[in-house]
Amino acid sequence: MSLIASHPSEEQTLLIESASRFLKAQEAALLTEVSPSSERPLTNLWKEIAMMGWTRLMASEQGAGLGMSTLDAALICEQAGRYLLPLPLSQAMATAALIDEANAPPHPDTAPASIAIQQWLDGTLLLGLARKHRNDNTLWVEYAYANGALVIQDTPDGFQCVLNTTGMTGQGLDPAICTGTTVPGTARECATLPCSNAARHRYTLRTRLLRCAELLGTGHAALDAAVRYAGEREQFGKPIGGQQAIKHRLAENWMALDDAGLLLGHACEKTDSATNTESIHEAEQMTAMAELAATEAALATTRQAVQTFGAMGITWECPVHRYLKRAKHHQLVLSNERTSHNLLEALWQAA
Amino acid sequence: MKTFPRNPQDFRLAVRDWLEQHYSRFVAGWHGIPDPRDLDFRKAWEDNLCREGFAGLGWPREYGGHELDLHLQAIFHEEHAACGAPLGVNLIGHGILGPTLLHFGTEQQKRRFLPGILDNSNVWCQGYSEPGAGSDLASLRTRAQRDGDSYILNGHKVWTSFADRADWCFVLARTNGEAARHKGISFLLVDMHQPGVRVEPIRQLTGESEFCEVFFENVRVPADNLVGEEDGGWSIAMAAASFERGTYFIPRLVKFRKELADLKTWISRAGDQNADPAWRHRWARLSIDSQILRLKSRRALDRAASGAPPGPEGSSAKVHWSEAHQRLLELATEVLGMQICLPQAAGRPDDAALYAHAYLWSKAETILAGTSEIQRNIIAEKVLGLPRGN
Repeated sequence: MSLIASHPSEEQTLLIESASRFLKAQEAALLTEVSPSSERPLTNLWKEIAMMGWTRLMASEQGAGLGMSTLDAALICEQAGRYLLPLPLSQAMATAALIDEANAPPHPDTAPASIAIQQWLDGTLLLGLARKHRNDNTLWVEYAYANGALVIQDTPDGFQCVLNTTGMTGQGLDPAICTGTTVPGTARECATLPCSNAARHRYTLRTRLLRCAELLGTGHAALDAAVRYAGEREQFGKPIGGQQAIKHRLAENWMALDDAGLLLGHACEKTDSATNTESIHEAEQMTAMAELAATEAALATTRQAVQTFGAMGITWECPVHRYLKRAKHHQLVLSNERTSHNLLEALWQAA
Repeated sequence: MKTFPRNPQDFRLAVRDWLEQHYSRFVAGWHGIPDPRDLDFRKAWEDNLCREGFAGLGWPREYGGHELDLHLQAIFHEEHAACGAPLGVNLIGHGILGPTLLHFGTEQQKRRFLPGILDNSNVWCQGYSEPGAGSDLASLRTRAQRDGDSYILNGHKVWTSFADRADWCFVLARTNGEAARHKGISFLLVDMHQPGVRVEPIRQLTGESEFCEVFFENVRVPADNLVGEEDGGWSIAMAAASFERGTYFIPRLVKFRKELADLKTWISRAGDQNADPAWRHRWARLSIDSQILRLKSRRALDRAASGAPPGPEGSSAKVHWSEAHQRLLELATEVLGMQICLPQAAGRPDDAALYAHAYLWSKAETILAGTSEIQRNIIAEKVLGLPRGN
């Protein structure tokens, strides 16, 4: 059921089951392709998600959150990845936790960005997330359903948030995620999220880990689809899944996902307990490992799923391409900040 | 060391302390060249450990064991590997046959065979594979025919590790030719020092001979040496394979970590000028493998300790460890370079000699104890529920 918690506690099992049930019921909305008329259902869904407490899952109970761990958040994100939720849940979770840990709201609290962030976490505003493209510094935005995208930048004073207006947007590589470019906001719209050194690292690690959890969920769903098809599809009078050329690759996909899940679970625990330089360093190392393992496993699995479906796999009608596209989307967002070269180099240097 | 602290931290320190003193003393007192590949050296160290009470760690007290829980046993294996001591030659006796007898043996069999394992005076080998029955073990053809109060054993086993040193062998033999493949097999304990038993060592690609062929020609096996029911040997063999699941990989993972540390030093020492920049990244990937294997090992141990039935994690750990180890040794040979090709100098083996040997031996690791292909079949069928191929 979960690759990240192979032996979940009772509470975790309930969390996974309820997330899975909720998302399954929304399947049609989640798979809807981006079009000028597709904004409304997702706006409503975002509100429901916030009302269930998912955006503030990691915030403390005093901070109107559920006081859960990064691992718990990862379990939800894994399900989100499974059902291809096209919403900025993982980033909202990490942001809410950051604000909670600082025990201070974004300031100045009258800045449009401060107001927007609170509305975003409350579920009343579906903000997109913008980041600088590595190659040319243009502002690139994902989840750009409504007019407004947040840029969260690390500065010495904390995270600086700028609210941008979105420019050209539309259906991107992943047909369910609205992407585009944004027009930079002005200083008037800027807010700052203060934070300690440990919280700053934890925020960055969480955004990466939770996106990896989504990747794993997507990979797992693709594997399930491929396995189901390989067991049903017959050629030469036998199911193709009995052929080692196919079953061994699927077994390898499972092993890679399971490995990544183990690393990810471990990295989540290390991230929560990171307080001093040494433990932050360890959490970073574990996160780099998990990130590399999760992106490679999800990419390999979704690629192989298309291959297993044969000619059906390359049609629009067969949904297996949606997994590949989602995995590619997340991989490229992650590698915008850190390529696999950077991650491997960091692991070499860290040891 | 006859009594063990039960607190994990104290236990670890006590074992570490004991091993540090005794292993170095043993090496210093060894009459020849202390070479971890030398079977005499390995057996002598194993004898030493058994004499000092490091045997039957998890066995019940009434059979001479220490009743240590699985986590303490794991600590022992970890510390033993960490001090650099080699594995013994009676691993099959301690790790497989002993626990099998404790579970399935008669009282008489336990009283008769367990003491010889505990004091290491009886070395055991495992008579499973045959020339025509490798991955497809159930197609084995060695026959045991009932004759009064004994069985007459005829057949040919192969890839039998340490058979040339073994005093006893547990043999899977067909006792019922009519029954379905898995149903007509029995588990017999066979004395290797008797007429009709012939052992032929097989020279391996390392130049050594740990594997042997074993021929049984009208060998008489007392019916008392049947473990479990007649024709019920298959399930015993399957259970026997699972007894080591919590601890099997521990020494291998400790070694993996040591080798990674060696590699890090050598690559760093080569400097940017001589080192291939790709080495660093290959090393970083191996460090991820090491971390995954550590987490997998802990998961397997926790599962085994909680009494959960063996899952597919053993297959996944086996594939991962053996294939990652091959990648590690591939890198090690490249980093050490042409030194690997030199003849071995007399005296204590140097790094190049040890790594050349490990490199060659690693080719066996993806084959023995279930090939990588069979392990992938197991994962595909047991975890994913894909159909069998034939």
